[in-house]
Amino acid sequence: MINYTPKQYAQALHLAISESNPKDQERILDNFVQVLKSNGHLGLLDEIEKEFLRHDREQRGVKQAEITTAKPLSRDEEAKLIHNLNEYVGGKVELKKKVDEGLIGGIMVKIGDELIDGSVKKSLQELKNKLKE
Amino acid sequence: MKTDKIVEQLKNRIAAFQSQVKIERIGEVMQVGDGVARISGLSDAAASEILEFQTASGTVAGVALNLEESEVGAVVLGQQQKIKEGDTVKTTGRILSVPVSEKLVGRVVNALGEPVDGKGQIKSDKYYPVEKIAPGVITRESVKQPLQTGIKAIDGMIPIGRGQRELIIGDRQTGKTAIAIDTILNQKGQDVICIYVAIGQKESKIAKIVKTLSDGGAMEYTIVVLAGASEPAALSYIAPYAGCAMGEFFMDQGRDVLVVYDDLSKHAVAYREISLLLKRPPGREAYPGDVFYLHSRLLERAAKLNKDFGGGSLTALPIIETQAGDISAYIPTNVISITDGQIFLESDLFYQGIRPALNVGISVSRVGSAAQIKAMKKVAGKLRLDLAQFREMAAFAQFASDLDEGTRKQIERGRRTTEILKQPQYEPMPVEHQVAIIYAATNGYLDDVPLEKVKEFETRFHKYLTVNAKDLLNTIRVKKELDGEVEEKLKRLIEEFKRMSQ
Repeated sequence: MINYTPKQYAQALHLAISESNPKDQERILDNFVQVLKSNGHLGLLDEIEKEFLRHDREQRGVKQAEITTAKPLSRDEEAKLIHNLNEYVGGKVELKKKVDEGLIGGIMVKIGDELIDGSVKKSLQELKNKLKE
Repeated sequence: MKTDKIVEQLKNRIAAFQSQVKIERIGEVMQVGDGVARISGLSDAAASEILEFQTASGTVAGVALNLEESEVGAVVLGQQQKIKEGDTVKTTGRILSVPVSEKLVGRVVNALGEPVDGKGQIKSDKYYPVEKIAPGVITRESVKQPLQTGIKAIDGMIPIGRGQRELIIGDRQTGKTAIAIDTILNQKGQDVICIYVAIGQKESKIAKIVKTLSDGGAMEYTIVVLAGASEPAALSYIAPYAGCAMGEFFMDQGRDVLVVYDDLSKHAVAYREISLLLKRPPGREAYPGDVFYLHSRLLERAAKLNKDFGGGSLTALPIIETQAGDISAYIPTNVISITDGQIFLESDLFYQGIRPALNVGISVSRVGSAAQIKAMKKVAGKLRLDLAQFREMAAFAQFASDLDEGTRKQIERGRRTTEILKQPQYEPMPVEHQVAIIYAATNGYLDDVPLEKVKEFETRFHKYLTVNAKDLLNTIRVKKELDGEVEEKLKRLIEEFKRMSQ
């Protein structure tokens, strides 16, 4: 038996749903779960969900940006940030917000496997390394 | 006053500091265990690039080995216990490399070139990549200069040349390491840099070897690269390449280098472990498919460079441990076919008291007499023949009660020659002494010495030579030839010595 990866499952599911009638979606999902069950891959559900969402975003041309800040962003700041990030990726960006006081200040943005670290914590670390030299 | 200055300086440096926000490519640890990690993301990682795991308690180094569509398989070079799932991983842009410098000589370092002998940091601004393509055809020339091991049986019959790869193979406890150590000890004053790479060895054994080497004054020109048995398999895997890279640094300066890999069977085992953990398909004896290439690319880096490329050389002495004398197992056959000959040690001979326990029949050097000085070539040709005939006769004579005169003489000669080739550990012998004693044996001067007295005869003979024949020894060493005049002198000397000792 071929061992399918979560990514392949997610792509297949996405294709099946997007090609079919919105009415049939329930049925397709049921069938999908049946397929998983018969392949013994029910354990992969979490990962398939993650892959599915990612694939969906990809299809819509939207990218997810994980932003971490020390304090919650104000509405103004957020709007500005989204505007800038949209420009950076050349498309639309969906924000996933996280708050981590350990950053002290500044912001850390993660898009795909790219990391833009502009936090105070990082600067302090760099300063520490520099002084050590 | 002084503190003010320091504070001022610090202030300036802090004021001048500017943090730059850069875009970095990062990955995330998906799975970690058994010294390997699977990492998602990290799309710009290069093969064998150094990775940095950012853990809660500092960074840990790793090497990217498997590059796949959506993940990277990496081996962890430090403490993997620190790494947790979800930790960030960064690329460093550096291909796995080791520091190389003159300062490494005399030190004990690990597979990454970091000192482990507690004698302080080794400063070096030059790095050599651990994996390097071997020198090409146009840079090489044929092996023609001897690398004296100081062991009569080897220098006489299985000569090793500079730039050669000679395998030392045998069961456990047959004296494989002893031959390598003797060879290193014998390089004193020969302007050869020696590198001893210990792969998966007991640390107690290494401590003993380092002590032997420093007692013999050999640490002055030796680097010990250590990947102990308790260290991760990844370090054992890297160690021989690291040792080789350090050797190449000296070779590139036109110097002669000797690298001992002790031993490559453990290296293959370490690589098998990593490969299986990275889910590469197993083949024969569960070794991965590229285990031949693993050793061929390492040993191919031994070379004798020609004048245009500095004329340096790198001699490799790989060691392989066999199980119950089985040289047809996977790794032994591989390495035998890669190297330019093998020195085969047998436990039977070892227990018979023939030490080094060399099996002369199947030990060969494919470089042959090109790697011998002329004097040795002259006396050793006869030696090989004598021993070959002796082996044949001895097997045959076991069944015969009375033998004709000629056969009996040959057997007696063979026994004495075998006796001459015995040599205690850590006592390498200069080539001129070797020539003299082998000359005496092959020309029948020992035939009338009782077998049990041969050893004693030899010891006294060497003493006599050092005291009474300094000139002659010097001539052999410098001229490297045994022409009529020198031979005549040697002959007279032996006769005189025999007359005296009667």
